[in-house]
Amino acid sequence: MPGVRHYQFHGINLVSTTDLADIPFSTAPDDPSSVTIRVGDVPTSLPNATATNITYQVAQDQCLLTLPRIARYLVSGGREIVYHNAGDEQSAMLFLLYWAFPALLHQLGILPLYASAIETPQGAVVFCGAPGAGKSTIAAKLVQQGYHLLADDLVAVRLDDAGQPQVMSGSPTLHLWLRSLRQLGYTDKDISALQALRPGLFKYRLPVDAHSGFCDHPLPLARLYLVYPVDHQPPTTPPVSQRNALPTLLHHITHRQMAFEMGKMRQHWQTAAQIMSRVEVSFLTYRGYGFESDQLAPVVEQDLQAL
Amino acid sequence: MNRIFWLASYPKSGNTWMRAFLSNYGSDAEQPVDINNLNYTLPVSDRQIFDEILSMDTGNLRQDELDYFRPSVYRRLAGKTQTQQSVFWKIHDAFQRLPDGEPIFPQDLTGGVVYIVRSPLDVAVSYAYHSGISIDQAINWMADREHGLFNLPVRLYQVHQRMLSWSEHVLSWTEQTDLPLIFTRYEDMTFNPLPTFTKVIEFVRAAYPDVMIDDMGRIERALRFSSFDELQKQEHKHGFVEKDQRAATFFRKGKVGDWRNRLTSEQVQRILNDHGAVMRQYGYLTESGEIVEFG
Repeated sequence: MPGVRHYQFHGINLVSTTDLADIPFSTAPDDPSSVTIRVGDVPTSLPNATATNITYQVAQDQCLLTLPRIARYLVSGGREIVYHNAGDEQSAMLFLLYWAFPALLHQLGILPLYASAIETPQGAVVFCGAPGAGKSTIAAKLVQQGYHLLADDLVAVRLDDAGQPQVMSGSPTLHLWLRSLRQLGYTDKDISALQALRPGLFKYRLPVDAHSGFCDHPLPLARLYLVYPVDHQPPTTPPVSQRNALPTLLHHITHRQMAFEMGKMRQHWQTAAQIMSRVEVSFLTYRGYGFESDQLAPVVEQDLQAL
Repeated sequence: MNRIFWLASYPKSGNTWMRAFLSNYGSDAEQPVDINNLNYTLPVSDRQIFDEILSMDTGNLRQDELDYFRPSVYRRLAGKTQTQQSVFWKIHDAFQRLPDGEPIFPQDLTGGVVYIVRSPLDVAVSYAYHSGISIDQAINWMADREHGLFNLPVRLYQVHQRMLSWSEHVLSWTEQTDLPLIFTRYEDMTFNPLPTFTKVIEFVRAAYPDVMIDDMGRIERALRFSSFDELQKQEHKHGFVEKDQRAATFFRKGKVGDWRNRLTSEQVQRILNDHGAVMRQYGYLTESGEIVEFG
């Protein structure tokens, strides 16, 4: 079809009529299970909705997501995202990839986490945490120190045929607040050259080199950290108790309420339980304000060597 | 549905003390309530609440876009928290409306507002310490109508709370007529606690449907269990999750009039220039402009 482009995002092949600038091109453009992304008519409500929330509705195999004056997205059957742009294209794309796309992952039964991930010799290391905890900043710091980025802001985990959790590759871009960039040593001049995630937002796209700083293939999950800023330093990695590990992981599922209303939480629970049977969960505590991020990499490295 | 009571104040004005009191009053236990688990009360600016209810990363929304959703989020939150365990909602925002005139804090949800005010002279000292900034900077912030907590570009684990200047914050709440409000001064909480807190309990009586409101013993015990010494002791022992990491402690001194030891005469004059009219209106300055002594 003329004018279409083929991408791959979190292990899903996408066929899009729109330029998805940050997303790597697909190596399997003929994949019959590709997801279609296109501009089109999107209803303002779903007549057969089984759940209606402030920003979205859920029907049997559809999800309608609405941000007034920004965009509407209709996500159908794990096969298609149709969107109507009511604002600027950059904003519509951001919410397509990091808001509507996780809804599609839910439909496909793939576990999406609000997290960042890097490649290590032991496999994928995932950083979960509350908003503002420092997930992207820590990933960025480790990328500065030579690790490869696997995903930021959204991490997708699926089980392979042997039941091993695999972390999918996202895009070679970090999403960082202005303060984080400064903590990472970027000057105002450096920052002025970066593009804001969307107009008016002090959060920026920091591209990493697609060849030397990015891992473009799935990796087995090796370690899951719960990032937890505290008062003291140096950083520590105490284990999360087995009793708390599963609830901790479930808590960091992207759009948890939506997943529940889609009837997907049972499947996610099973995936999460499988992850817990194979992977340890640890806290990663560090000093939240003015932290010396240089101290983080050695602590993580030492922790991983014990695996 | 009007069952939510907003605990509104400029920062460092006694909001957490009031929460500790209301939590202890509601719990009526033999031991003081844990400051890290102040039941009956909820800090509703936590970004996780918004992310959860809107099912999205609200860090990607601009402030006006997030504000648009706030009344709906609060209504949904009220629906999710059916029990009395979170009937008092702490905020530091000024009273504001959306462009269509709707208050950000919905009328249909609100039982009332407990508004706490503290002398800006003492607020400046405490706010500087709490935020890890100079007192001059705190005075600048308190005069800045664009000032807010978790403002861009450092917005993180709480949503943005637009506060206006200290004077505008006070007037925004005390002059609005949409929500019933009780006005409480930190200085009266300190030096005249029993009648001051009893009035608050009478105002929020709907929050405690099963409690006899004239139970003075219960009020006195709640006061004892939420005393500054008790709060400080607990923080010293176990820490306080709401403490800003730039400050060494959340509960520093709590003293009325500590500004006399900390502010220069120039700093005092700046605060009087910025806020004298409102200070006079609420009993912090005499008619002739003298600073009122408390205690």
